[in-house]
Amino acid sequence: MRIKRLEIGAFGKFRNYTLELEDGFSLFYGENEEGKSTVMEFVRMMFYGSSVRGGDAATNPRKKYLPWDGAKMEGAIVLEWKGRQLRLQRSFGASNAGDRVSLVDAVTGETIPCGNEPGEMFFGMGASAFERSLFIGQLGSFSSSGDKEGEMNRLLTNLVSSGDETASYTLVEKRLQEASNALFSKRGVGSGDKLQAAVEALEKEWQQARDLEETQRNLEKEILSCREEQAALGKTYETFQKSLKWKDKQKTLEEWKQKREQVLRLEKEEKAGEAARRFLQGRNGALADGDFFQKAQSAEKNWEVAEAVYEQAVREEAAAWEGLQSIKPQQESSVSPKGSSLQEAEEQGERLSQALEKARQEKILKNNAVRWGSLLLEKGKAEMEEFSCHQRLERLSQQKESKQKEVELFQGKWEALEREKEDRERCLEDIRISCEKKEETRAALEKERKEAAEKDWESRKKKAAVWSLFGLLLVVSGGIAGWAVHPALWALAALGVFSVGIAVMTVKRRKTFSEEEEQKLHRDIIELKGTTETFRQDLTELRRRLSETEEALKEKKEEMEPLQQQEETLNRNLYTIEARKAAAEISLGQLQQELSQEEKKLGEENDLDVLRLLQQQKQQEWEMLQEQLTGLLQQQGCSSMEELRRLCRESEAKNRETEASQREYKKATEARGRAAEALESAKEAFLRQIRPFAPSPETLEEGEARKIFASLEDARRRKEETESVCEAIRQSAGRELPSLADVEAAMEKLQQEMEMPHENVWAEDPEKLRREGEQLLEQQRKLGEAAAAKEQALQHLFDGRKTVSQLEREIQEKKELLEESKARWAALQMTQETMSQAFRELQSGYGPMLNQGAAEILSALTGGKYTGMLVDRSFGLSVLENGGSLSREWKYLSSGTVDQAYFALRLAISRLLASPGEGEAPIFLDDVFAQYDENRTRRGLAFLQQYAREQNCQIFLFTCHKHILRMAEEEKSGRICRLLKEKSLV
Amino acid sequence: MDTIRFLHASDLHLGAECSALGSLAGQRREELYRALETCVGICRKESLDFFLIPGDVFDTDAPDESLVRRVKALFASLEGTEVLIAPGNHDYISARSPYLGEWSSNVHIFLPEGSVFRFPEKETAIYGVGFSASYEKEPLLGRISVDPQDKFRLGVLHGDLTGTGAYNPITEADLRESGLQYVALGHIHQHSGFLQAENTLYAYSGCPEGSGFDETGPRGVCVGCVEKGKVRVEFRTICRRMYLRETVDVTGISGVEELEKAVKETLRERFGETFSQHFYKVLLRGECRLTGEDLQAAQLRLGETLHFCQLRDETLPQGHLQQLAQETSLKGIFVRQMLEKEKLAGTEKEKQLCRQALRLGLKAFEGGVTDFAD
Repeated sequence: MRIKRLEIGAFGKFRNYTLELEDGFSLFYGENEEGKSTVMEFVRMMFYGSSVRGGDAATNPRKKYLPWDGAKMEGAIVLEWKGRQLRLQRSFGASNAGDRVSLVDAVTGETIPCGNEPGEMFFGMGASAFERSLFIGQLGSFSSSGDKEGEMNRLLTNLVSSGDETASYTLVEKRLQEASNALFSKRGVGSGDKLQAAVEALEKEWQQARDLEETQRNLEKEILSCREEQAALGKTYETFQKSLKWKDKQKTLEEWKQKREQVLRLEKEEKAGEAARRFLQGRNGALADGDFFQKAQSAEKNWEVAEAVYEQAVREEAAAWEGLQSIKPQQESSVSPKGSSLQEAEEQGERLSQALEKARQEKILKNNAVRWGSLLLEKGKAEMEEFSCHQRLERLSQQKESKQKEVELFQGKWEALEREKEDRERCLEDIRISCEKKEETRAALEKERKEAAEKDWESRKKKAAVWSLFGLLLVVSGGIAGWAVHPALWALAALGVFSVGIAVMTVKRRKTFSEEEEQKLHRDIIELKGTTETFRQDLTELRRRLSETEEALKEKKEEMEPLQQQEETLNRNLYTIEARKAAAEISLGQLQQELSQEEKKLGEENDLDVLRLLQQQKQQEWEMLQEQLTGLLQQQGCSSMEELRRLCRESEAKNRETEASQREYKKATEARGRAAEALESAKEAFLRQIRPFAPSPETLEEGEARKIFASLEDARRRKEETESVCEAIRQSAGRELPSLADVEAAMEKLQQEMEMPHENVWAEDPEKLRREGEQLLEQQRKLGEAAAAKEQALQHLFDGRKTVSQLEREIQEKKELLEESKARWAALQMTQETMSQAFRELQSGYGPMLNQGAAEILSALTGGKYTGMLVDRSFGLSVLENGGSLSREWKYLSSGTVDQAYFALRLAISRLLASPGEGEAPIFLDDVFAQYDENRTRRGLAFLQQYAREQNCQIFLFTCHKHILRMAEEEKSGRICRLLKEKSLV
Repeated sequence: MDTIRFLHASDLHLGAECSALGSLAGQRREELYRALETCVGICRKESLDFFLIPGDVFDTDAPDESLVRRVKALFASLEGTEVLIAPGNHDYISARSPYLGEWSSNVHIFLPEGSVFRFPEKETAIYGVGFSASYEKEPLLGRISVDPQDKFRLGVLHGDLTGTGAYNPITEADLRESGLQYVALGHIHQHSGFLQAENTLYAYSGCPEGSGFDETGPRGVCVGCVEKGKVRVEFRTICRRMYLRETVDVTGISGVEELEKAVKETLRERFGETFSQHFYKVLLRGECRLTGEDLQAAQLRLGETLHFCQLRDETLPQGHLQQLAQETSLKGIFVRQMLEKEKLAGTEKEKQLCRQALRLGLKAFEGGVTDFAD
């Protein structure tokens, strides 16, 4: 093939540019920016177009070389091929498909089909091989990696193969590798990798499923355990409940028993009360009522007062009498005849005793006599007083006992009332609390209801407003339209009215919120308040009664006090009187002893025998007189005559006193008489009161009357007590007490219903049973919740999960697929390996040729420095120095040598690929010597010129380097042209 | 009673997903249920005394409730036949197991602790043990104690006859010493034939319907009787469809229709007029000029006639190999080297690998290295 002429119609900066080309080596010089690369690109694109897409002018030559003036990119090449003069024309579009390519026989005008890449036809290679062989844009190494189609390989292979290779080794290897990577790749994205990952994931899921099964079993066990425990607790609770029921029944039975007791007691009390009432009924309709008692008590009191008065009168009379009696002896002694003989005897005695211890005996005797008398008197008085005291004590004791019983009765009543009051207060408190709670609930409900009602009201108001507004608008617009446009449009106004009506209805329609619950609560509250009020009234009444009872009790106690004091006083008096009495007796005894001693003394003295005899006689007389005297003195209470005289004087005084005393005594007697009358009267009045109640009214006596009265009082007390007790029983019962028969029937029925509870809980306190029962329920509830939660968990344990067996089946299926993939991958490995072996074998065919051809060229370029070259299948090369034994890889060569080596390779390839008989295709070189030094450049230029001549091919070298131009001119290296000289540029 | 008659079927796997069948999965699930109906039909027609099912009636321990209802109703309709089930490793007894619910009175479920069901009117005692989990590594046969006094003594057991493993390992010695006259085994989906261990006859019935291409060939149940101390059992094929792997030689075939015809005729010849209802994986072997597109078209056409068919291409380019091996092109050298390797391969598996490698290499020269089924 020969290229004759380039006609650049519009390409880059070139416009209507023509470049004539000649055979052999041609050097085209152009400075920078003068378009040498543009010319090279034009040639390439004329033969192969450009499949590069994109708007980037740096990479898309269709953009880069768009004519600057906007003209359509086009051109033509005139060439000679297979003996024909041809004209290749091309008008460039946006892509190869958009290009218009024509190949015309310049002589015959025949259009020859050439496709969009006529270079394939002309050079027997595609663009990739073209760029690696005939069209050297830049030097430097190249490899097969940029040749995705493996065209170079295919072409070289085709050199030595006999087949019609449609795919090169590179392409086949690429397909095999792609298939292998599709199964298993380094990045793990192949289908086999995914299957492997899927199997691993399934195995992991399988393990989780097994763990879940284990969890399932554990959960099942736990649930079973919970349910069993729950059941056991349930049984225990049942036992507790049975025990509690039994205890409740027992309690009820007790209550019935108490009721029975109450009924019996009521009956008894009622009987007693009835008996008392009957007892309180006297003859002729007489009734011992309050009025009677008041009168009888009054009469009794009067009687007592009269009695006291009488006694006082008696005492006074006695005192008066005593006084009178005390004065009498003195008086008698002073006026008695015995008084004179007594005096004589006394004179005699005096004379006699003067000689003998007149003073002593007289004194002693006198003292003793006096003492004896006084002691006797004192003893007598004490005895009288003691008797009086005992009587009074006895009466007082009776009164006190009576009062004590009253006090105890009132005390009992007070305690009963107190208990009742406390019960009422407790009930009241409970009711109050219940009331408060209900009140709170009611208030909350009311609040909720009101809020709901308000919300509803607001909602309805809004709706009503909207409807109203809408209605008004319709009315207005309907009216206007109906009046102005068409009467039929009045319907709008009607619709508006209807809308307003809806608004009104919305407002009116009230949503009733149920107040039932609230009203129920309210009724409950009212009822509770009513009950509260009743209870309060009862409480008030109780308090009042309690207060009254307290006051009565206090009163009774107060009444007791004086009696107590009186008793104490009387006791003290009695003690004093007894003491006095005892003292008087002791003194009397002593006095008797003294008198005996004195007698003895008088009997022992001799010289006084006569005297003594006389004295004895006189003594006897004296004694007799003394006795008389003593008696008299005793009577008078004197110890001596002086005293007697004094006494006489006193007696007179005493007489006077006596008289006075007599008068007093008389008064006292009269008073006593009156008192006696009054006493009788009072007694009679009392007896009159009592008579209607006496069995023998006619013969009723005091003691009996008192007894009867006391009995009546007892009966009244009993009656009141029974009534009080009956009232208390009825109130405590709360309502009508059932009959005894009903009570006993209920008790019998209850006893029949009762079963024996479980032994273990029989003895337990009901409250403890209830507490423990509640705890059991709580435990049971918690166990139930736990079991339910576990059952829930169990139910959802396998949600969205596969079972172990499902997973095993899936794993099995995936593993089968994985095995198939692995088998296929192994087959691909074998294929690749065998393919590689086959290629090596093939390479051994063209490889030597290529190596040799490239070595020759390299040797020529390097002046024989490098004489050997080895090219591998990816076009990596190594060179062998002249005389050297070790080859050096291109990576270790200088860039200039690498350029030369690859230049040699390219030329060798192009030489090998040259169509036989056609000569070599033209070679286009773009400043390939730019990196060369001068020597290399000269050798290169010389080589090219010679090569072109030897190979009979065209070699076009484009350069912008002046020194290359100069060297070419000096060496006369073929045709030397200047680009700019050929044609004008745009 | 002189004779008792029984049907032995297992591993129905009702409710299995059958996801590998794609759009046919639903139909296949119903066919599995129909296999059970067929068993029940045999029991009813032949008035069998017992229906023994040693495991895996259901595919999971918690099958769908509607399926359980159907099975319950089916068993309940079986009058005169006692159904005995020993749950297997798929339908083991768990808290959610349907076996814990109410079943008709003629259905008896063996529990994990081992149980015996006696039928005095038939003088029969049937022993069995159920699975309580996916695995039972300990032998379950030891949980039952057979009373030799019973006239008829049968066993129902799901387990693995290898004697080891995690699925109730059973040994021949265990069976020999069991004292049972017949042991209905389940777990293995392939009928084992009838084996004897002294006085005990035992067998796996296999599954009545296959569920994948690892269960190829006819499937069915065992029907037998025990008479005068002797056990007589036979295997009956009841499956509606079979899974089949078939190799078809397509040497010389050059067109889609020709291929379709060859495949159909081969299958008809082998499986009769009902050949179209089975599941097929057809391996195409031989030398032909069929392309990937041809094979794809042929599969589509076969799919219209056959219930299920997957073609696997193991063909080689027709008449090409020996000629190619003579060329000095890359392809020729490759073919020659591959043929040499095949010749040197020792096992069939290696030979098959070489053949597949050769096929893939040749495809690589033609274009993409994809199986038409990819």
